[in-house]
Amino acid sequence: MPFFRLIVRGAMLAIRSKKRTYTFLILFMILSAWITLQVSRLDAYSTDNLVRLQGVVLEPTEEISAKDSYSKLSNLNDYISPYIRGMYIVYFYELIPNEIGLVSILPFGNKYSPSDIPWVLEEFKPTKIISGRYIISEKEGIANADFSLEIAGTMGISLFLSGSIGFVIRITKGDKVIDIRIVGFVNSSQPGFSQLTNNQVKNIIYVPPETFKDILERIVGLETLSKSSVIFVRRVVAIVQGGLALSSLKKNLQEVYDKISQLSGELEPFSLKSIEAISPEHYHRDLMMTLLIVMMALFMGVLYAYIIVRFRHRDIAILRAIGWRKKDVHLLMLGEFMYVTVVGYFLSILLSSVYTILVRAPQLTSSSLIISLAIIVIAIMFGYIFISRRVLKIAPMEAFRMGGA
Amino acid sequence: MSNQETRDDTLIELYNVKKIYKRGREDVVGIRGVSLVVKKGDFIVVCGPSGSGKTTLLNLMSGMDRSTAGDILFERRNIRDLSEEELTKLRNEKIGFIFQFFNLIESMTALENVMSPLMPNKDLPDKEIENRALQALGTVGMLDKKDSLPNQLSGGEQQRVAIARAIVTNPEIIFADEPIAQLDEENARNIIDLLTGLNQQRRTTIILATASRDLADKLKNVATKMVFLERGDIVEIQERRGNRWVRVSSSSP
Repeated sequence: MPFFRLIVRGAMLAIRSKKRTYTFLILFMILSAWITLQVSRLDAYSTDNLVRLQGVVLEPTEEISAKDSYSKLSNLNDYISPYIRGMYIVYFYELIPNEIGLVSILPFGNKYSPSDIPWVLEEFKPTKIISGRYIISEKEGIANADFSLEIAGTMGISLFLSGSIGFVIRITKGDKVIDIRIVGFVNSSQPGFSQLTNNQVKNIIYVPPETFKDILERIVGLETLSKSSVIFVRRVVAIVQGGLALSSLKKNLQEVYDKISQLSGELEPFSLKSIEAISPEHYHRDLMMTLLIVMMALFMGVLYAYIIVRFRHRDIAILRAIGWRKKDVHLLMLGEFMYVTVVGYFLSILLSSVYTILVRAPQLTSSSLIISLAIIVIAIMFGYIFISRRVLKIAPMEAFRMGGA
Repeated sequence: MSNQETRDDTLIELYNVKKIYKRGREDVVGIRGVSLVVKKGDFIVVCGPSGSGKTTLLNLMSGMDRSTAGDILFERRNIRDLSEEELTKLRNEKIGFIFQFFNLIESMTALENVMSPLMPNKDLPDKEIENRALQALGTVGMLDKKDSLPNQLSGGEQQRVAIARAIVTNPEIIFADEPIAQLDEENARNIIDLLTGLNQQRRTTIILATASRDLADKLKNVATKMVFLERGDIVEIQERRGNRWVRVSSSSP
């Protein structure tokens, strides 16, 4: 009971000390926003640039079906499994000859990270959406921005149909119906796009793995996708284990490349695709910047704690004199700290969200928000513990003398 | 009065208490070997010029400061043997303190200031704390100013709030360190009346420090003991014996 009572009182003290609280709220908001953006930037490395930093990509030099590639990919998976966190296959199915192809990514084997899926297929990853948004539910899809269907009429007349965000493609066979709502568009002129279509179709729709399976199993009537001869493998992506800040990543990448070169004969027609790599140094530079900001946050926490405790020196002395225990004073101060931290943090989310919209920076992810909150809370706690321990050791009268009361 | 009765009545005992504190690199003697007995229900006036050690003496007796030498017993327990937390508990439950400069918390209302000694008490619900604080504010006639912040109150009003804060825990003893030094005559009279009322009606022990010899003389009709300090030493103790004041040569228990 006194726990909440004292924390609430502390927050009320902060609200009443308007000038000081508002000054710190603004400073805190800016620092928190900076931390959030920086963490979000680091987070983007492990997602947006996932394939270019941690990926090994294989593409077939000639058309190969899922059925024909199955044993090759199983063999590869067995070989590289200790070094990867997942192997993903980009499958293609020609839904309407010459017009529409479906693509999707399915994990191969049991070892994969579901959060990698949106980032593995570079052409359709969330940050490549030029209008609309990324898929958030099963019956949604992303199409090429110049999506259009040509319907040939009589006497040489053709009809072109195009759609905008939200249009629904209904796939039917008998009484079986699957609707796919197109929620986003990507540019079809990006590199690698033609490899996905193989110039067979004009339009391509990316659908989530569940929908892909659903269409092929319920509508087309296939039993096992990975052994089908009408589904084609367009790309194989292995995401290598190891964090970007860890040296193990380089070692694992090398191991995977070595294994693939040992298997090159068996893997044909798959061959390594050179991808434009991003130097891990970029990442390390941003990591250093983040560490610097964390240090600044710690400094800020200490400074804030110092100012609050200095400002409240007299109050602490009074409270100790009238019989408050150290832990009671701690709780009161904690309430004041929490007010500034929590309010400052929520304001910082607003500020950083506005910033990401204005400069088209990567959107804030929940993990970056949680990490930045943790950094801020640790900083403020560190500051408070560092300062208050010294102050509360002093006898009340000594504190009065220091506080000038 | 038998010897046993005398000992049961004893609240605080001081035996050759000394306090030396640092001022820069210098050692300053605050109190040099004071011995004194405070009985329950006493109204003791500690009188002495500025720098004579009145505040130091009150701080030591109330457990707000530690002595350099000698023993202070509060209800037979040596303060020296108490941990910081035990001493804090003692201050919270048994002692009320009224400061010369009021020492109210500026960002708390009058009511919150009065509630503050009870806030850490886990056995009291919020409503009970508020009721007790309102009652204490009522005792000092400050109910109508309960929502005012200290900077919205006059000196006399602030001191009344400070008294309400001191009595809200229903303490055994109240230490009042020059409580009227900052007040005009009318407010000063009101505060003295309040303290006298507490002593006579609730039998709360009062120890009041003052630099004013005039005030000390005026308080003779309510006080039970007068202690005169000079340069950190007790130079004279007077005790009321019936209607007479008797100079006692030594205050040693």
